[in-house]
Amino acid sequence: MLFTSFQYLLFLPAVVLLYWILPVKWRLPMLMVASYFFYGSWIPAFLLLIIPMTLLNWLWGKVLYKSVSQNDGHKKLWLGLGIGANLLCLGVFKYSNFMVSTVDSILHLVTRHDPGWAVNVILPLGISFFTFEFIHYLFEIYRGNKPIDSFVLFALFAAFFPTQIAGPIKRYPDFQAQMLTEKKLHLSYFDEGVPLIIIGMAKKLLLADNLAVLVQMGLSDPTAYGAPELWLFAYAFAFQIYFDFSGYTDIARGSAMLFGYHIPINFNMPYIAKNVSDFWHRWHISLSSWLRDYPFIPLGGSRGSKWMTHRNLFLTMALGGLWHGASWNFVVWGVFHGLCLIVHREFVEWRTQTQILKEFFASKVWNVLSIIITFHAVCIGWVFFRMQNIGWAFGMVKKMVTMHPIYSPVEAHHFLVMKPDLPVVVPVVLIMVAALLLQNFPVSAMNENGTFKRLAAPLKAAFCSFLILAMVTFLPDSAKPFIYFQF
Amino acid sequence: MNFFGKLLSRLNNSVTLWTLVMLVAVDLTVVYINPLRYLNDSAYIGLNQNPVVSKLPEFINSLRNPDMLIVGSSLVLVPAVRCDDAMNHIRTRYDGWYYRNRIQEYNRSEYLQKSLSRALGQSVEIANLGVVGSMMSDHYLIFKKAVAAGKTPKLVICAVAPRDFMDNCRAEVEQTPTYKVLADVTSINDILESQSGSGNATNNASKNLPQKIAQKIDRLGDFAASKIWHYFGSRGDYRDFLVAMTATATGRPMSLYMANVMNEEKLAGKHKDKEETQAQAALDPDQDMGGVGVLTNSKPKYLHGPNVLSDIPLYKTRVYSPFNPVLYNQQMRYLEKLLALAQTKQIPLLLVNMPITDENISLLPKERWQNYRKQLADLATNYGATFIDPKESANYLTTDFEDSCHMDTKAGFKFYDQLVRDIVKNQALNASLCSRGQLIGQR
Repeated sequence: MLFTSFQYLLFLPAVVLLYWILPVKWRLPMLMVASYFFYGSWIPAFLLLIIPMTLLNWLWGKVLYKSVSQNDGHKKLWLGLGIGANLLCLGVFKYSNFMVSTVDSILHLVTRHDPGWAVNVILPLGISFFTFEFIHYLFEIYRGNKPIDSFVLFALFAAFFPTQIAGPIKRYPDFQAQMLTEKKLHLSYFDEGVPLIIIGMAKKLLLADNLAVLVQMGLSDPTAYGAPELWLFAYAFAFQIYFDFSGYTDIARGSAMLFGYHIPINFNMPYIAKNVSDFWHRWHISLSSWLRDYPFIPLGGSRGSKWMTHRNLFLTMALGGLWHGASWNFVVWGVFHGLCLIVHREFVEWRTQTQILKEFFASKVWNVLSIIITFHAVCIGWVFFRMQNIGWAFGMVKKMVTMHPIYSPVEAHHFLVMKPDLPVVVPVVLIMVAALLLQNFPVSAMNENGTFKRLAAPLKAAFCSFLILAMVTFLPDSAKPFIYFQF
Repeated sequence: MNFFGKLLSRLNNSVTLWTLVMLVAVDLTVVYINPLRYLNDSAYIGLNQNPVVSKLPEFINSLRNPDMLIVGSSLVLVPAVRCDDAMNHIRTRYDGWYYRNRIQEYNRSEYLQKSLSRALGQSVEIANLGVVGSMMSDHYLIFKKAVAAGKTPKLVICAVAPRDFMDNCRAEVEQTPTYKVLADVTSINDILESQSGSGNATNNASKNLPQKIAQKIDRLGDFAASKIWHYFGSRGDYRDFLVAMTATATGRPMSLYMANVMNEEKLAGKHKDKEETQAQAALDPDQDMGGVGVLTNSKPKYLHGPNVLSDIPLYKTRVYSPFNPVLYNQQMRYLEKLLALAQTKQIPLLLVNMPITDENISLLPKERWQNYRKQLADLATNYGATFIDPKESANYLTTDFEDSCHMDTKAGFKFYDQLVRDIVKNQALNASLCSRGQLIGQR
């Protein structure tokens, strides 16, 4: 059941209605059952994975807590086993196809004989997200936090349907506190939640799905286009993935708000980041903070030598890349960001030590320039993220960086995207995206700093009504799934 | 402040409530003011939307009860307009404006009506419900809705051609303009009985049961939403308006389909020999085809040049190819349903295989063409209808057509004269049309 599907538009109000009319003690169990129903609506068999994993982690948390509180010297072992079991599950379902095909390719390379090994394991939706929540839970208990007593509460933490498939990755102390708070029906929940859902849907249906047409056209055969066109496609994908994922997050946050739950933000205008480190503080915030808290800090963080810090950064980002998908292009994307972070650290250190061009680096010009440079570096990263064929990705990046050739190799002195017989969708998409992009930034800004909340209700309602009418008018025949659902 | 004052104040500050109020206001505007109504004569209404089919609800909801109904595609509309124009001394036109504002909306067949009345010795009223680009399923739906609305024709002419059964450019059965415009008289049963996605063989085959159920839920949702929220039901008209306006402003085609049509026309243009182009230019001062798909009010075009079969590439690459057996069989079933309905209601039916050019026929494999004709004849026989193929008894040359399938004025006269002769000659049809005051079911 996609967030943008008609089924969800039936499911959500039904669950919200049921939630608020039921007695308080039945609300959380009902929400848990609804969450499992939501999960089972994709492939019912995967309930046989998420429910036992939830039960196992809940019990493991209790055992670990006992060991921690008794300080019996086995707490590291229990933590290791718990994390190992979760990673094993993730590995089997997410990476077995990848690992087998990689071994197959290596053997083929070495022996010149194709062993023909292949497996076909279907990836359960949301496994990367709830596995990370389980690992976080075990880590926090290891660090001395109390486990969740009730299985229903723990199951709801892991399966809460608004965040179940693609996050944001929740933190259990915060979520547990919200679950334990007795809620009274407030119209303000709807006044905050409904606009978020509408804005999220508009981001997905009006922006991301329309940009997808342009991206698909360009990146299906990048050899046919000149460098400026490839940059255009890279920009288009940068905004497609941003609107797709942040749209999903908005719908998730808005849906949770209808039950009185506050889910943390996941994006904070990432494309105005001044460097790659800043970008990771603004992009997929729940993942980057998870990566910081769990692999990076336990690896030593930035406490050791410079080279150890670089190693930790590199490994963390490479793992982050691999988390996004079982494919080498995601590893390359992670490695690219790891290298960018290292280069940025070195650059900052060099600048501080040499004090060179101190005034320039403090100026507004450098501020703007650094945003432009960071955005373009991120766009190069997105090429690796989007294109599974690494050879094509490197070829495309080479063309983009060298700006050669300017025009399409197929049609000299012309940009293919400007061909007069292309359907009107291309200029329309460009115009619409430009217009909506311009207004999306102020809206995002207002959303984050509260200005949007302070606007008069009729103004906000007019904006929401406009988005609803635009969405209904340009409703696509079939809904495209969210990009992050594959992770 | 009393309780209600507080409540009103709270509601006044609610985004959710304000949004609902605004959406209701928009809906009331759509229903009671209908802004698009004021744009009927403008260039901004999509080709595939209401102007093409607006005559259908108008006819179905009217008190008109004609003696004869004609269902079919543009193949029965174009010659009707050409012949009626010639008969009424109206200077017919061959430009986009005329096509949009006269041919598409035309619902009469005066020449046929006059000829038939003269031949039978009594007046006969005819309603021409031909719809541009419609498929066999649309013909059936129109006939079904007309009968359900209480129309009691004494004869139905169902005019078909191979395109009506195998056009790959057409949408799914439930997505055609005809279906959409008659949707307000569609029932939930229609949706439940429909074969979702059966217009596309590949898609249909790959859909499993949960997907089909989800699709049904979506369609039922669409149906319910358009009942509750009128804007939802007419959103296609507004989308077409915006798209056409953008297309006009940017000088681009409105859709990929129209872009392909433009390309095909360019391609066809390239293959014309020089002499032909010059001849065309001499006859046709308004040669600018850049506006295909963009509904510009171009200069009137009173002359039609030599038939260069400009639609042949389109038929070859898209309409007939690749052949979709699922679509074909589905559309044949709709013909069968139409024949069965006529038989049940005891309404005599004349199935006409419309004349098209040999060049168009040659695009179909010989076996498929023969099989198609045989199926028409067999089905007509099985359901007690009359089948005629005018091309068998009269010679229709390529020069008798405006393109590969639309007859021009001369061929139109020939066709209607032949039709009158066939009807008069056929005792059952003749008797049915001449019966007066007889109730349907008594025949």
